Amino acid sequence: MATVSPFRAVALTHNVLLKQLVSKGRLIGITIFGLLPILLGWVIGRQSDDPLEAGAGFISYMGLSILVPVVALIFASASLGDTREDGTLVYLWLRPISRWSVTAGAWAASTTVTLPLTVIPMTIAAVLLDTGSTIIFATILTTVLAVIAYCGIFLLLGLLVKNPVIWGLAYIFIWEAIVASFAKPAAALAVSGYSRAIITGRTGVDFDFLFSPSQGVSIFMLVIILVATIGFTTVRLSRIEVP
Amino acid sequence: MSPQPPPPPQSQAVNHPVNMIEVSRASKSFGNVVAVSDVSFQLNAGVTALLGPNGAGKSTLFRMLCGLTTPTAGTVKVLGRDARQDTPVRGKIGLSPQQDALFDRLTAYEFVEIAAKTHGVENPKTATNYALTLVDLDTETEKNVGSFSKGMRQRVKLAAALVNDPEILILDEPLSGLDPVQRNRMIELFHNLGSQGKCVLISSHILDEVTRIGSEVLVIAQGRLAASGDYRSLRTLMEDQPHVIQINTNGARELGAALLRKEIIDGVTIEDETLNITTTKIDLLGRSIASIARELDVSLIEVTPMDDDLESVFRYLIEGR
Repeated sequence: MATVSPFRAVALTHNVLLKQLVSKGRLIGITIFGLLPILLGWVIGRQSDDPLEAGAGFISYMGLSILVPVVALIFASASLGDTREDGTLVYLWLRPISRWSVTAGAWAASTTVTLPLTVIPMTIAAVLLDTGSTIIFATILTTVLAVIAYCGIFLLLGLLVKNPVIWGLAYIFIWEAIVASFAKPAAALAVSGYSRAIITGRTGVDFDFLFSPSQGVSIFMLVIILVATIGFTTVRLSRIEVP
Repeated sequence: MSPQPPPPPQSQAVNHPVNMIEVSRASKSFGNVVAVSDVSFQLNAGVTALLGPNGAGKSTLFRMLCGLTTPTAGTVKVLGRDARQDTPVRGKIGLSPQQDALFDRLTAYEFVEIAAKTHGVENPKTATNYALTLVDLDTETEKNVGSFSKGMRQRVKLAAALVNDPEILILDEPLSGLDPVQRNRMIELFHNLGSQGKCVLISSHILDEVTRIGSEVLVIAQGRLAASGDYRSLRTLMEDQPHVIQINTNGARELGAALLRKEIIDGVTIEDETLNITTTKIDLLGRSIASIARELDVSLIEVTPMDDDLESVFRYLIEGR
């Protein structure tokens, strides 16, 4: 019996879980949800006296704190969480492949589907702000980084709790959207704290009350969040009782 | 096509210095509920049936064998290894789980091919086609397994369990949902695999099924190993016990008297037109009751065995009554 290389195992897990994640209902629902920032971006671009500052705030709060984490939650928590719930995890778990390959494949599957569903509406919204290319590129970069970090967090959540969507929504709206917006120490423990710091740093918009690490530190921290959550998920997967 | 074992190219001749499956004083509890209690057995090549009623602990035992759950006490080894910790040994196990769960958005071919690829099978396409053919599934169908009937889904699980040509096959209720023809074919396939040197462990809660699955039987009830060994000795043990049969007839008195006179039954009670008889000569009763009824010119409306359900079997095996 030939062995399966870890990267081959990642690709196989990614492919099978991606097919499970992508359903018509989910895609239609999320696409409709994605129209909201597009509409708001268009309105802000035409109504605001300072569309750059208003736009950066809108991208930070509406996009990076709500749209991106909610979409990531729906797909990432389902990626392994649904397989555990419905009993299909056994078909990946009982294979001669490393646990981290399964984790990485599941993360990659949720990221693959979350990226276009968030980056496209966020980019269109940034274009409709009509304030130049800086905010467009800043939005794309920040959205991509936020997606990879959120997918890591919610992948782990899917294996930790039952009803991860409910727990995840509570986390997003209470911690990421509210607490991290007003308490700087909390922002240091939130994806939105670092993603807001990147977009404000790149656009030069200054929100006094915001947690404001450098862009380099923010990018590094988002990558650390991803690596840590992949690690914890792998450990969890190794210790889990598989149905 | 007659069922045959999977193609041999991927097989490696393996000498087993240890038992292929070794369970030593294994227990598993979920909180206060004891699912498996102090179970020990060893298995090698051949087909073994694991018989037990629903909730007896069969699936938990299978999950422990595959490393899907850890025993609370004792040890469980497959090919001398713990499947939970040892990655390579997982490549030598084929599991068909009891739950009716599949990746519903894949076709049968895709599902089995993914199993082949994640097992590192050298020629996954050939192996996939072969495994699907073995279980009589169309390799070309474009339908997702989500739209399959229960029997077809069962066969998809079996194909996925067979595709890596495993040394150990663990099949949890693999015949449920299959029609009689398919059942016969699968049982023949299991026996072929057993004679090829594979260790095939199959669970069932249907006594009649077990008689055809394996000569070696493990009986589990209430989480404990109630009996093990050759099926014939188990059956002989059971046949020594009187059977209770209920017969509805329009000539209860005459029929009861005739059966007693011919010493076919040991005891009888009559309620209206119902005979409740006890007998240790169940085969003789089966052969002769119709002709006796004909001689007496009475009609047999219904003949119902009252104690051949599994609960009775287990009650006897565990409690000796």
